This record gives sequence, structure tokens and C-alpha cells, in this order.
Amino acid sequence: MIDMGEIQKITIAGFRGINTPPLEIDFHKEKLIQSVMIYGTNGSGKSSIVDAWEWLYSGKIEHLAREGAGERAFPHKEAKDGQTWVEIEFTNKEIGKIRAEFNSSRITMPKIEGNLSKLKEIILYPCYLRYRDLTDFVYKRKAEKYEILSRQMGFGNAIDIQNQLQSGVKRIEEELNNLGRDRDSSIKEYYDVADEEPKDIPSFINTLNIVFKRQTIPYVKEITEVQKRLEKLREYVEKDEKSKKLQLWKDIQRIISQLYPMEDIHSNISKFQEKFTEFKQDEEEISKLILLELYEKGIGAIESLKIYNRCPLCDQPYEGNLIEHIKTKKDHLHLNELNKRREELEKRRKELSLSIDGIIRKFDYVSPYLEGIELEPLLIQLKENLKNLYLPLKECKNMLEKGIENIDKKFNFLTKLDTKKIKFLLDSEIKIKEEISVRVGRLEKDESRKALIDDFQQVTKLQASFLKWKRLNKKIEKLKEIMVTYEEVKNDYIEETKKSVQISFDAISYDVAAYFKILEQDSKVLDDPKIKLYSEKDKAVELEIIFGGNVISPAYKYLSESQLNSFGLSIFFASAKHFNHNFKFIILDDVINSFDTYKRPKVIDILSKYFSDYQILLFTHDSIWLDRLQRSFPQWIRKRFFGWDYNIGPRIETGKNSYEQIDEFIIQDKPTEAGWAFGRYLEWVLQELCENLEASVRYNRRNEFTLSELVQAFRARIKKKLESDHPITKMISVFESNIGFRNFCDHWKESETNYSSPEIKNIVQEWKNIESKIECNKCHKFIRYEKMDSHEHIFCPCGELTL
Amino acid sequence: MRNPIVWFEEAVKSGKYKKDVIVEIRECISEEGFNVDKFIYWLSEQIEKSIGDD
Repeated sequence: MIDMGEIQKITIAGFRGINTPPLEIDFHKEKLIQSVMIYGTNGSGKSSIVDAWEWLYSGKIEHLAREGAGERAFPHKEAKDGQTWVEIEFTNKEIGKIRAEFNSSRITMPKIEGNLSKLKEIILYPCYLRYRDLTDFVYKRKAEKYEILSRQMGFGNAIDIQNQLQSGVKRIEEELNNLGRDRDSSIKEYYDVADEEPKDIPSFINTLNIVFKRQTIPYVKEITEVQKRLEKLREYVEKDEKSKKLQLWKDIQRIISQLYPMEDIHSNISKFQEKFTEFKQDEEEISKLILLELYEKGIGAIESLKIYNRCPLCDQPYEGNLIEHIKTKKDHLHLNELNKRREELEKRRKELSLSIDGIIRKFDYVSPYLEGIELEPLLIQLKENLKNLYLPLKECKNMLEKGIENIDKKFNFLTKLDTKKIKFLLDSEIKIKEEISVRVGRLEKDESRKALIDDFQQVTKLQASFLKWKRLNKKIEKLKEIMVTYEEVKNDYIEETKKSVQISFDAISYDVAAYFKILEQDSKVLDDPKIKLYSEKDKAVELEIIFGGNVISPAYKYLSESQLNSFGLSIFFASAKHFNHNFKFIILDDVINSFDTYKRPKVIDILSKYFSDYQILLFTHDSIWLDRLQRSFPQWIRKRFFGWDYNIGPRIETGKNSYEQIDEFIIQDKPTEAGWAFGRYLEWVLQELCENLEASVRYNRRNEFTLSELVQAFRARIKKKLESDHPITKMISVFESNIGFRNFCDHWKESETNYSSPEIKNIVQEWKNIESKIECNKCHKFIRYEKMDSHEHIFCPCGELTL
Repeated sequence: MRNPIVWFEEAVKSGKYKKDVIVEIRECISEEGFNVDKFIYWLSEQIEKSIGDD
């Protein structure tokens, strides 16, 4: 026998449902490394082993993270520091032994001993599959499937780069939009003065020259002369004290026009403060609002789950209509009324916050300008008020941004803001504007001075806006030029990635189809499954299938949950085979859970046909399926979790097949238990035999088949095909007519039985004798019936056993 | 699929793309992926430089 193994031993301590002594899974059997099958009921600790593997490999446990359980949930509740660890011994000498120990001071960084990076080089695709992983995957959106599969095929880095390059495009576009907006504003500024949009340097010079002509300043011929002419004009302004003053006052006039009109927030603050104080008076009432959210979410959950008689939080049954009950609770607490008040207050808060923000912005614009100039008394007072109000306004704004529940109830907006100063600011508007107007008017009485200042301001504005426009054009041009190359590089890179992903998909697609066909061979309407990769704008993976003769894509809406899981399992097998080709080890945790009983043996067919050179660690809670697995893989190590203890974890012993279990019950003189085990086993075997041999079983509306009906159908079919005098026909007839067996058939499901251990032992032995004649020693499968070229055959699938 | 870094290095050598841009994109690629912020910072610098001394 070839030593095909990869793993020698897995040891786990203090992790999830496993405590101490450490749980050991030893893969040695008769000096060879073998696969291991472990039987355990739900809750016996099987999944802790897969979790331990995932944690050692990646430092995370995805499904726990999705459920909100972080790293602190990894150690067993009783495990002390240093007692939570996982150790795996590999046959690969380069890897050797890897150990991960939970690091309580850095919980996301387990202490790793051994060559984990080498292991990660070898294992590219997750080598484990849980039932929950399978169902999660098949119900993912098609784009998520693409992402998951591509990452699992080793394209994670390439896909990250794709996404980052794509986000780069968005950032460049944003940059372009911002520059475009700025350019538009420069065009508007220019238009306001020139009455036309900026075009080019000659038209700009022409516009300037009209002004220069008025001020008897020599014409500009070249753009380089503009600054000199402007300086000349400035000289004209500066040499006359009154012109200088007019220029200053016109600037102030422009600045003040940005400050006013200013919103009167005083009454809004008073109203808000009043309502806020009233609302905050009863803290107890406010805390009830948390319940309101809970109740509303509860009602939403019940309605979406459509389970009206069970609490979605504690899972306890409730007699009556749960939704009505919650609504009554809500009404009782007057929560609706309280919430209405809160919503009104929230609205006021937002409005007030916006108003204050607007005022702060105005202050930000005006204050710096007023700082640098010599002012008249009225404006000095205005400047002082702006300065004094600025910080309190900021404080109020910051407080309002917190939301009603978080605003300190002692905070008083009315005392914080000096209302006298606000009032002064508002009342000063007319006075200040009038004052400025009077000053400007007085200074503008001299027409030539007025014209000079108007021209100076026009030229200044024209120059500033034209320069801004010109610079922005250059910037936009440069950005577009870089963007073209960036897009080219990005598209080429995405194309290259897509091609590589497609090649990998093609590589697994053939195997996915092969495995899916095995799993779904009894579905006559399903044919030719393919995984289709859509790699255009919206990258996606879909299953396409021939359904009733038509190509269906996506096939999801036509497939049952079990068929979808066949697809998911096929992808897992194909991917593990292709992408971990240097690591022939897989863990299967209860993956047959969603498969119908008849389909479960097909998983064994895939394992024996395609994964015979793999080492497998398999968990199941289906004892009958396990029996079948043992027949197919007698060399595998068998283990059984026979219980779970809080302080220890899973209790492990050598696994037993059905016959070994029955023998143990007989030795312990437990005929009822032995009868139960044998009855279940025999029902399963007879169902398979009747199916294999195309036997007719008497129909009943309950769709239940008892042992006597099954054995009768089996006997009749064998008799018909092998004749009455065939030794097997005779053996079955004797078995069926045995009084002990008939008695067993009538009573095996009852809790009290009227047969003894020796009697059940005889029945089991008689059946074992029959089984030895109809089960192949080579392929470990039962006989089946087939009609080929008008010849009838009864033989096992490998052809070794022919009757 | 080749290592992404190798792909971008070959893209630089290929002469297919505008040199300064592809060189910068390559500079922004590492084991961590593509550093968008670094690229945008460079882009802003280039834009500022483009206005010259007007």
C-alpha cells in the first residue's frame, strides 16, 4: 500500500469545545499514514477540529467572525494562558511540525512555531469544507462567487490590485470633476466682468485694453505686459489718498455683503433649549427608547421569518401572536409618543446645527479680512463681536453634532451664546451697510475717482479669473493625459487577470461537471453542467445546466437545495484537486448533510474514483452512511466521538460499524438496542438492494417501507432472476420465513421487545451469510440488475461478483 | 497568472505606455497591492508642475 499521507497527527488543546487532555487524531495505522473517518452526533466537538485547522492556517475562523464571535471565543472557557494550542505534524519534512498557541496579549496574532509560510505556499485553496461553508457558498451572489473562487484559485492579490486600480480611476475622475468645477467658477467670475467667457490671450488682452484706454495707460500687446500695466494702474490708485480709501471701502462693502443677511438664530436656540430641557428631564423614559428599536427589529425579524409563535431572541415558544404582544408592550410604555417627541427634537437639532454652521462659515470668510486693516469704530465693534461669538458658536455646533441622546443635559445653549452680541450683529446690518454706503458714496462723488476704482477692480478681477481659468485648463489637460495612460494600463492588467482566471476556471470546469454528474446521476432532467465565467463589466460565476433539454443559466432557480450543494461540493473537490496539487489532504465536515439519503453514497463514489490517492479526514453524524464508507474504505482509521464533556471535550474511541455495534449490544445483553441498530441497518441495505435490482415493493400511501415488505420484494426479485433453486434464493427464503425474523420485523421498533440477545444474534448471523454472497469483496458494493443487449445480468459495479 | 509586480515591470519595459506614468504606477505596486494614495499624490504634483511659471 502506498503511503499517501500528508498529515501524521493533529493535536488540539483548550480550543473551542476541546479542553484537556489534548485531543489527538493520529493518522498512523500499521506503520502507514491513512485517512480517518470520525462519527459523532451534533455537538460532539467535530467542528472544533476544522476550526482549529482554519485558525492554525489563517489565524482566523471566518464563520465565527461572520457571526460576530471574535478571537476571544477561541479558547475553551476553562483553558488558562498557554493552554490553547493546535499542533499538526506533516509528513513533508520541509514543513515538519507547526504549532499555533493562543496569544492572550495579542489575540489576533497566535504564537506560531514551525514553517507556516511553507505550508501556505503549498496550500493555495482551502483544504477543508464544512456543511455551512457549502451552503453559504451556493447562496452567494454571482459576483461574490467570482470573487471567492478567484481568490481561492490564488488570484487574491491580482483582484485586490484590480479593485485598487479601479478605485484609482474614481479618484482621478473626482480630481477631474473638482478641477472642472473650479474652472466653471473662474469662467463665471470672468463673465461677470467682461460679459463674455474667457477664450484666449488676444481676447483677454482686448478686454483689458478697453479699460487701460479709459485710464490712459498704454495698450498691452503681449501677455507679459499685463502685470506692468496693472501695476501702473495701482500706482494711480495709491498716489491719491481718497482713491486708496475708496478701494478699501469697496472691498469692505464686498466682504460685508458676504456676512449679511445673517440668520436670526436666537429664537431657534430658545425653542430648542426649552424642548431639550423638557425632553431630558426624564432619563428613565429616554432609556426606554432603546427598547423601541429592539421591539421594531423584533417585529421585522418575526415578519421576515414568518414564525409568529417563537421569540426570535431567546428561541422560546410563545402562545399567541408574538407581534401583537410586542405592539402591546410598546403601547404600554408610551414609546411611540416619546419617540415622536424625540424625532421632533432631532429635526430641530439638525436645523439649528445647519444654521450655526452657516454663520461660522461667514465668520471664517469675513474675520481674516477685517484683521489686516485699519477700521472705523463701528467695524471695530463688529470685529470684536465676531471674535467673541466664534468659539461659543463652535462649541454649540460640536455639541449639536452629537445627537440628542448624547448632548449633555447640563449644557445650556442660551447661556453659552451671548444673545446681546448676536442681537447687536443683526441690528448692525443696516447701520453698517449704510455707513459703508455713505463712505463709498461720498468718495465716489468724484466721477474720475469712481471710474478709476471701478476699472482697477475690474482689471484685477479679470486678471485673476483669466489666470485661474488658464491654469485650470493646463491642469485638466495634464490630468487627462495621465488618465489615458492609466486607463490603458488598468484595462490591460484586468484583461490579463481575466484571461488567467478563465484558464483556471477551464481547468476545473471539466472536473466540476464530472463530479456533478456522479452526484446527480439519478436526476434524469439535469444534464451537462458547466460553470460559466462572465468576465465582462460585471464579473460573475454562474452554473449553467441542461434542464429538460433546454440550456438554463443561471441554473439556481431550477435546482433544489440538494442539487445546489452538489454543485458547491463539485467545485470544492475540483478546486482542491487542481490548486492544491502538492497537498493531497482534505477535511470534510458533515458535507452530506443536505443530501438525500440516496445521494450520499455518490460522495463515496467520487472519493473512491477520483481521490483514492488523497488522505481524508472526514466527519459525519450519519452512522448508516459511515457503514457504507467503511465498506468502501476498509483501510481507513475509524473513530467515534461517543460523548462530549465540558471539562474534557469530545470523548473519543475506536469507531464501530453497525455489526460491531450490534455485537457489543448482544455481549452486553441489550437485545432492544441491538434490534434497533440491526433494524435500521437492514432497512437501509434492503432499500439499496431493491433499488439496485429494480424490485417492486408494495406501494403504500405513507411512503414507508417495513422490513417485511422490503425483504419480501427482495426475495421475489431474486427468485425471479436467479430461479427458486439458486442457493441465494433458498437462503433468503429461509431467512424470510424464520419465525425469529418475523417476530423481529413486528417488534423491532418497540421500546420493549420479546426477543432475546441470542435470538437477535441468530437473525444477524443469517443475514450476514446472505450479505457475504451478494456483496463484492473487491469493490465492496452490492449486486445490481442490468439488461444489456437483451441479456439480463446481476453483478457488482466492478464486475468481480457475477451471479 | 504571473506575479503582479513582474507584470508591471514588464509593462515598464514594453515601451507601450507613457513612460513617467507607467513608472509611477509600478512604483505604487508592492506585495500589499496598488497604493492609490501614493499615485494620487504624484498625480497632484504633476498637475501642479504642469502650470509652469505663467
